[in-house]
Amino acid sequence: MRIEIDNVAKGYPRADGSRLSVVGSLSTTIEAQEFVCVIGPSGCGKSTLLGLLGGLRRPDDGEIRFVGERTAAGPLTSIVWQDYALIPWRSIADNVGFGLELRGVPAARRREVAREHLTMMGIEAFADNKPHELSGGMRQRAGIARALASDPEVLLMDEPFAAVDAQTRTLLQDELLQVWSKHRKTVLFITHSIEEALLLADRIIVLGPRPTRVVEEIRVPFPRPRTRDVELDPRFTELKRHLWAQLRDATLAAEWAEAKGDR
Amino acid sequence: MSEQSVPTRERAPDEPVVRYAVDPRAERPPGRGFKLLSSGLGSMVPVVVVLALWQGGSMAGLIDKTFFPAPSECVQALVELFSSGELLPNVGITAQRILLGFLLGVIPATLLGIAMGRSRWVRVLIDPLIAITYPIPVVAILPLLLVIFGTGGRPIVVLAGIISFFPAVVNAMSGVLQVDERLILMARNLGAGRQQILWKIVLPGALPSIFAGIRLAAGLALLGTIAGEFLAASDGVGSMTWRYWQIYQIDNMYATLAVIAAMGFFLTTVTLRVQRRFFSWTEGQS
Repeated sequence: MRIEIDNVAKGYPRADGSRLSVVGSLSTTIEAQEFVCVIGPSGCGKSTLLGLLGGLRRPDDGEIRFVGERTAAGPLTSIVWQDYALIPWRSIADNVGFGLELRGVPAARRREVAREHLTMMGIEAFADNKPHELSGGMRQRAGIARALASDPEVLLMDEPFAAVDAQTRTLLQDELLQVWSKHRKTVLFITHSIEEALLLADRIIVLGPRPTRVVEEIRVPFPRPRTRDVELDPRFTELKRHLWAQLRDATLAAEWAEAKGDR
Repeated sequence: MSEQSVPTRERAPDEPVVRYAVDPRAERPPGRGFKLLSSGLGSMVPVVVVLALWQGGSMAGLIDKTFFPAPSECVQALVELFSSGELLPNVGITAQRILLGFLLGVIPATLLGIAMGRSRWVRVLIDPLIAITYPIPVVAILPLLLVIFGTGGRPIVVLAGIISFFPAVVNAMSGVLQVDERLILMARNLGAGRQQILWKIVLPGALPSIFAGIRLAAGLALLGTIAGEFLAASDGVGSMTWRYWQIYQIDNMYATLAVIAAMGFFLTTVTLRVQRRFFSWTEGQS
């Protein structure tokens, strides 16, 4: 499905009664089956945008439209969370089957689908473990398995690899590329890593500081299927430098704003 | 790459050095004596030692027997109370009061606590009522209960119920409020409705806290029952303790105290077992 974000604004009330505008009149379109990365300075409202797309909050102004026939059996979106959000008292398999459980899929079928997705993520051996028994990387593999097993139209990923160590992150990025090449879901992937965005995305949307707007959209030129070798492409370095130039001032401005307590 | 290593400089003979080397004392594993005392049966050793000192002190005349009769005499009194048929029916009566009071307090408290955790309207209406009644020592309202419910078992059961109500309601509410907000967002994103969030996320998430409240409530139900029996009953173990104090049969009094202690120990152990059995996952998070 195509996502049209049309002049969306979102703010929060401050303690002193005034309003903090986080997302300010943001417009962009994400095509069906496109992999889009969103980067922006910290605190710029990336997560607020994700909450809006995930149906957890409604915009103060403008609207978000999901356009096209429903092709998946599951919810409109499913989120892969930065801190995994696995249910601690459930086994990994029961976590992965949670989305199916919510829409009344019988237990036997749930187990089957869960096992399929656990195998796809290479963690079928941990089906009966509890989340706290797994490493961060394993937990996020389970998080991705849950999101895909729910069979959404759109996959929303909120800095999914920010909490794992650098080596594991590399593995997870490669695995995501592989898995995505099979599923081809529409993906909106939030990150603060320029390299990650260049490796994964068809298109990169650069957001500015609060109130967030789209600063620039860049098409990533590397062909698919992609591997880590894109990092050796001279265009990679060039784009990286360009994106950092875009982000640098905004990041500094965000740091100043935070130091002044304007959160 | 070659295996060439970075050349290092020789240390000069007079260069000062701080050494961190093996310290056998720091790494010593717990010895046999410590292991024995920390084992299940070994943990009884301090108890036995205290009892033995008491027994010895009493026999040697170091401790006043009128206040502290020797443990052996208390055991003898216990056996006599048991064989005369006085003890068991009273234990049954007390146990029944504890159980009834506990259920009377805990069931509505848990339901109300969950409702308070889920709805800020219920919370804003009920919270002030709890805040002003919680600090009242519940035993102080026993006369009121006697007026309302007459004498006999009923005011005691109600007393035990009221006293076990508070920890259960407070723990149920805070358990529901402390459920990880991210899990609720996660479920909502995947299409969960309010009922599904309640049954699949909130209640299981709050269960350890709810159960902690229930454990406290069980202990307090015992406390309330015994206190009620001291003051307002002619049967039950508590009334036996009180009566033997009044007629100054101190060994019998100690025997009934031991029975009450055993009941408390039983309650604590059973509930702790249940907790460990069902809530082992609470040791780790998401």
